[in-house]
Amino acid sequence: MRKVLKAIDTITGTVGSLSSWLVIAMVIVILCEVIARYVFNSPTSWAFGSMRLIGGVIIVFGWAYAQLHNAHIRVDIFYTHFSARKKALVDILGSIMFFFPLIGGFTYVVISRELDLLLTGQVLTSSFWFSPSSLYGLVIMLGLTLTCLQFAAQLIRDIYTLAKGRTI
Amino acid sequence: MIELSPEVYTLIFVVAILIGVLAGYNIALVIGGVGAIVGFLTVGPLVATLANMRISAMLLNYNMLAIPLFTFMGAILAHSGIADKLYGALHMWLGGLRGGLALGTVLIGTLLAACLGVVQASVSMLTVVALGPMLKRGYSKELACGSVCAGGTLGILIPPSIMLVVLGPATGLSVGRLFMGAVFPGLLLSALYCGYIIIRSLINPRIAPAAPIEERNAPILIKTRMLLSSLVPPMVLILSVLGSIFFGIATVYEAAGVGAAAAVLLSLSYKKFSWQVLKHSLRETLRITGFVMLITCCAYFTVGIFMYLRCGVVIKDIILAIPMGRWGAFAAIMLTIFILGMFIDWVGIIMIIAPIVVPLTPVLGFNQLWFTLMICVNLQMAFLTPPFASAIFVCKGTARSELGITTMDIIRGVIPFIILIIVGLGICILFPQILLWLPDKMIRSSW
Repeated sequence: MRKVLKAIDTITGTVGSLSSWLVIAMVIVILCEVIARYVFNSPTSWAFGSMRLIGGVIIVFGWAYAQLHNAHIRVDIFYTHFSARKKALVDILGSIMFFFPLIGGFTYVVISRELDLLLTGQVLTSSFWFSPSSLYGLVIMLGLTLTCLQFAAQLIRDIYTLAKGRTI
Repeated sequence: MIELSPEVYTLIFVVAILIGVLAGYNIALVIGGVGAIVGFLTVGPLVATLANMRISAMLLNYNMLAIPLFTFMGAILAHSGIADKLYGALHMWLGGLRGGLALGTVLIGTLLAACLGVVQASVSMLTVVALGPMLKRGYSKELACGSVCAGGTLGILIPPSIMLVVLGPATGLSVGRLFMGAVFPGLLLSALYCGYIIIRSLINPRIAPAAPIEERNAPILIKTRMLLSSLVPPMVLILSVLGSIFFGIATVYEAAGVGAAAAVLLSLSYKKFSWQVLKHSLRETLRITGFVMLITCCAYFTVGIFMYLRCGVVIKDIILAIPMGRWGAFAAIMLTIFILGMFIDWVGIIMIIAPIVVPLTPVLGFNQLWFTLMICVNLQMAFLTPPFASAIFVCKGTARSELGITTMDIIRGVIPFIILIIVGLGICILFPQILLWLPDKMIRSSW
């Protein structure tokens, strides 16, 4: 179990670090667009659409990465004074009641929709170059799955803490 | 499927979110999860489609592209040594005044605020650069910490600002106009802080002694060169980002992208850029974007359910029922935001309160842009009011331990600045043109 948890952390960490380079890609796309528009007076048709897709991908991987680093915000006026077990209990209840119904459900909807789009070979109208929905969809699916995995790993850790009173 | 009156739904939303948030679970997921549960019980499986629509819309919202870009820009600048240079120069010029270093801190905070859009970066830079020297020269801990926190918090009010970027989609207002509207209230607060520091150190010289003359004894020419060489690069950055938005040359996110590239160049020219800095900044960007956007998406979804169940009407009735007309309602809304600011992060407040309250402003007879910007000025206090005060956390977390700063020192230090923000709000009520003049001067203001 410990190995599985460690593996999930490693995957999220690596994929997160890799996907953070998309910010650089975004900067480059913007520079291209601005230069094309003002220097060559021929704005591109692809920059705006692809930027939005890159943005979506960054956000979804950001969710998983922030969870890995425990960077999501909580109000800890009472939480900091809880014992480790009580903290674990709050997190278990929270992820079962809130995370999995919402983001878990969202992941399920996205995956079923994207698979459907993929199988029928549709294209995206949200970008002007009609990129096949597959690439963006696959990456978003991956990001959401990773987010769910990362929360599941945390859930298992919390259950262990609650049961045994120490960290796994 | 359960059917209750909107009043009951409103109560359920408020109570459930309050319990979840205070228990200490991830705010974003408490907000979103309550929406999902209430939505499922009332709307049924259709709620999945609604979640998909609302969350996907936020994922692909082009305004939000500015968030990773401005965050990245801030992270790069934080390592660029820009604050050190500015501090060195202002120390030379202002060190001789009583309270001069605190004054310099606020001025650098203001300048940094116009270069970056996040609180963490500006507060931590000021803490690293300015706090130690002030304490070493005998400044009181309260004044030193207060000026660092208040000056750093300007970072998220004065554009560029990720707070204003989030507010755009939340209220349907143009982010560019919000940017321009926030310039003068930001400068007003900065001026109030400076005035306070000057008066305070005149009355009580012991808390802010002048720096010894030998420290700042340099020919005027060298002093001028130091000032110019430290001021020009950030000024170019500020003018290129805000100027291109003001003149309609680029959209907000394009300006953010150009600004990010400019920040890298600036960092390169200061010889502070390295692979390590780049990697660190990118990861920080991903982390901050992750948590900001999780709250944004979740709150956007839950507000959708909230409005669908007609709870917005309930809120409207409550607001309109407040005695003393529209100013009573205004005061009540501002007070609510102030209290929420003590406990919840700004993203949550904006994404929940703004979409519900800002559409009511025409009913109340207020200007929408003015009202939204007043929320922003008000939220400056959210960063300074404990128990949940990000500026205080960052200052405490960044200050070297040998300085001996306690959280209580910082809290005592920020109280006068909180009062100054309230004064600033009052001035903005008396002179709404402070907020509305610049946006009207924008070229192609529809952006």
